[in-house]
Amino acid sequence: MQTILLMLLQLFVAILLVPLFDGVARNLRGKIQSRVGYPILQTYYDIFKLLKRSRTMPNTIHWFFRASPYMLFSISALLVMIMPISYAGNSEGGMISDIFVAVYLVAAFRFVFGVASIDSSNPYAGVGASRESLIAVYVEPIMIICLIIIAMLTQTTNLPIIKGVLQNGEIGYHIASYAVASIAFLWAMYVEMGRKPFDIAEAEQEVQEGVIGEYSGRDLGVAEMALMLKQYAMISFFLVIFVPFGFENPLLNLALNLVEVGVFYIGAILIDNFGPRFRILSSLKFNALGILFISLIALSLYIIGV
Amino acid sequence: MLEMIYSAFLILGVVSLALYKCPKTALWVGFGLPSLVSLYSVVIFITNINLTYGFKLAGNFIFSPEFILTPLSGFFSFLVVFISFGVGIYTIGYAKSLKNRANLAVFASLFNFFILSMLLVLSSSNVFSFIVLWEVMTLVSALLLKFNDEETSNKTVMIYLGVAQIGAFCIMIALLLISGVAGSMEFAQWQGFEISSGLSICVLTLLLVGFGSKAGMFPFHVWSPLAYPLAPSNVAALMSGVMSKMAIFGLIKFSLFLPINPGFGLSIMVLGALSALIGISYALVQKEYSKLIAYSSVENIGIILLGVGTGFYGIGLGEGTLALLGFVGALFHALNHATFKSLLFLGAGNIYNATQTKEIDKLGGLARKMPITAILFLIGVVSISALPPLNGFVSEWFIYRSMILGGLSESLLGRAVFALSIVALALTGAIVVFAFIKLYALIFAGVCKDEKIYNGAYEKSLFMPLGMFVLAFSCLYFGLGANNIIMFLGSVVMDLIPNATYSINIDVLSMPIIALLLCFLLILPFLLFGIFKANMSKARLSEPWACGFKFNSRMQTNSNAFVGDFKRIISKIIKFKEIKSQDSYFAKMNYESRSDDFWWNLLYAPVVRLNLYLGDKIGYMQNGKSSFYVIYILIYLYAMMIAGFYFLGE
Repeated sequence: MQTILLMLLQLFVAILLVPLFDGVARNLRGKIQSRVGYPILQTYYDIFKLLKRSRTMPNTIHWFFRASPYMLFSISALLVMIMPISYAGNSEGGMISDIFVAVYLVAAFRFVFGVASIDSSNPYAGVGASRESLIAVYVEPIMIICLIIIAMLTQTTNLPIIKGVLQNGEIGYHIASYAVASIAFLWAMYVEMGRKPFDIAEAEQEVQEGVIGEYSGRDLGVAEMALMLKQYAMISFFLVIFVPFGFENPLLNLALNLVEVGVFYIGAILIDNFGPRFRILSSLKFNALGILFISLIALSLYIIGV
Repeated sequence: MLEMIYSAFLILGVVSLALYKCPKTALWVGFGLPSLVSLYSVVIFITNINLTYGFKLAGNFIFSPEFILTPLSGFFSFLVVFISFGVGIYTIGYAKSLKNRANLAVFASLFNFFILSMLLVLSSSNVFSFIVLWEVMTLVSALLLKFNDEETSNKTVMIYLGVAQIGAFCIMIALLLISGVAGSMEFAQWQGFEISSGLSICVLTLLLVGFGSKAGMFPFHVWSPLAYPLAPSNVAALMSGVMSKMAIFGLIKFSLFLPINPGFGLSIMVLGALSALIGISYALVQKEYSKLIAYSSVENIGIILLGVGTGFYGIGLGEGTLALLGFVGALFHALNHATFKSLLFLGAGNIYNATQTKEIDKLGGLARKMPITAILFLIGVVSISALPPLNGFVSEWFIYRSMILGGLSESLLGRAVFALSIVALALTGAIVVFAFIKLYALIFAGVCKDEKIYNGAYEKSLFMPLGMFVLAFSCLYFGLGANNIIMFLGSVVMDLIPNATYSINIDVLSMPIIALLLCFLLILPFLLFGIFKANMSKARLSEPWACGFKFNSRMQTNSNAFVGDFKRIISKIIKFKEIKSQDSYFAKMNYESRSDDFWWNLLYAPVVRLNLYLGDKIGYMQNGKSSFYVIYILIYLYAMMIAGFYFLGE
């Protein structure tokens, strides 16, 4: 019961604060590009404004398109809930908090995204859906490779228990496969955040924003919120597994997590703004293959027992 | 009990054949009544799942056939009748579309015999009846394939029969070898016999090839993407959903008679992982929806084999828990695959009925015309993509869990195979989502590219969605009530491996809570809307935005463009033929891109060519002159005489 309450608390805090992270990111981007950025609270203003606006929709849709912002929100909110940020060690949370639940919820997010975008009939949305799915073909195996190394080391797929074991320090960076896997997993989470070079900020027509291009009003607000919650969940996923610090007190854990997410968010902004842009296939060739190689090294290190 | 069910299907088959003059009555007798019988037998098989029971056929045959159900075959019998129940209801509506192509009475009769033959295969208790019934099952399914007469159907049926014959041949040799060693043809007496390890490996390989070819395992999968799309969709549902599981049954049942070494489990896993990857890669690039679904059968058989392989590896090492988890995962996925694959094939038949086309590119936006089919199909698609909280996810979770447990083993090879199989399964999972976004969205969402097809589409009969509903509901139930199913399957597997225990807590994942939370979070935004007083006015509809151009239905993405980047990546493995043709200078250019099965060209085409060549050479001897034939006979007699003298003389 306590676990469920902590999960809901996490979700509440996340819904409250993710627009702030996004606002800081946009402000920083302005600073980096030597202009006055948006105010830090801009994302809150945007979402409130969107809630007040009326909506328009394509005339080609069926119910899936109407329902999908809410489905996206529901999936990413569940993703935030199952990350053992404030709770750890107890197997009770593992009823829903499991490695494969997390990975397949991300896949479900992508499924809803893809179907909704084709339903909108928008040509850009179709391209975006195709690319999202293609990126997933690269990312998902890398994610799973890193995660199964952890699962095999800790002999469970239950996230709270994994976090507990990692906090005890029995498994940590002194194990080579774990250390190498952390690099690959960080990359995978960065891709799942949907940032450049995997989502091109200035040409948001296609990749991720193109998919939600046909939404407006409160639907768009909810969809944006879902995307931000997913980013938060993905960073937390990395932090939970590969930054194993923590306190006994759940509230302190949550506060620590927020600070860490802030740091990683700023890091992501820096990569976003200083990294080059590629076409989709060359981007995958440059970025994904190397990381796939790293994750395979991690896997082979596990296999030979290091 | 059992004899009543079997004779009910037999009588219904004969009666509907006798009604061939009045096909309309035969429709109800041959499809309506079997679904009732199936429903009854579902209850029987579930309640008696832990028992071993059967009956002996009275009378003086050459031998006295006996039919026995063990828990394992009881589970598969349940699978047969359960899918037949849904398919039977569906067919009442579907058969009308076959009216002009065939006599419905014959169709109904064969349908009943097909179900009966599968049930008999499961309960046969000796080598002779198993082989005979196995062949009967193949032949009846081949006859059912012929109901769709297409240009290539003869060739497809021949390929199907050819591969099935090779498989049956291997199975027969394997079973005869075992019975030779064990000194009995009865399965019940195959206990405690001594077998040399070389012979055992040989028999296991034969079993794997034989049953693998029936299941559609790589590299024997070539027939399934040809046969399933050809079959009428209710037959495709039975063939892919149920008949391919008979092979899984046989593989598990007969291999367990022999001493198993871990290497056998690992080789099944390698083949399973390859089937999964190759099946889904081909599925993704298909342009016909039935082919996409058919290739995805290859993939799912691969996933089931991953579970089976894990189970055998566990048995080989003597680790009960690993074997238990692997087999439970495999059986669970077999059950799930039967459910959602039949659902998808039935849905495909429904789409074909309404639109008369198999091309994905001509369809689109059908959800507005056929809302019930769309939502049932969506349930199938979500299940097969293994998205939580539906059933596909739970069984894949099980298989992942068992493979992770297997990856902890001491042997280096074992760890490598398990780890790489998990990676293969993950890659498969990503491509599956890609493929089924394509399948659902390009058929049901967006706009239709062909106005005429779109206007003609509607729900033709209520029986078809009703039959699909049964299966879709089961998809939901098997997902949410997964813990019950696992207990049920656990007792089946415990019977196979008596020394296994539930030593780790495997029912820790709670699907109902996940589903409940997802529903609650779905409503949460509306609560927030209430608090923040959002604008709740109705949405205004307008044309999709097309960068300032006038929107046109051809602007929407199509099946080829949607997977274009993927095709470019795997073009090194799968060759795509681009065919360009133009009738005259001013006519439109036609582009066609074909994805031929690489493995057919590599493995089968040379054999076919060799046979054709040999047949051509032998043809010289068949010149039709009677004098030559007399010479052949004389030569033969002379040769026999010499041989007889040489060997039998003294």
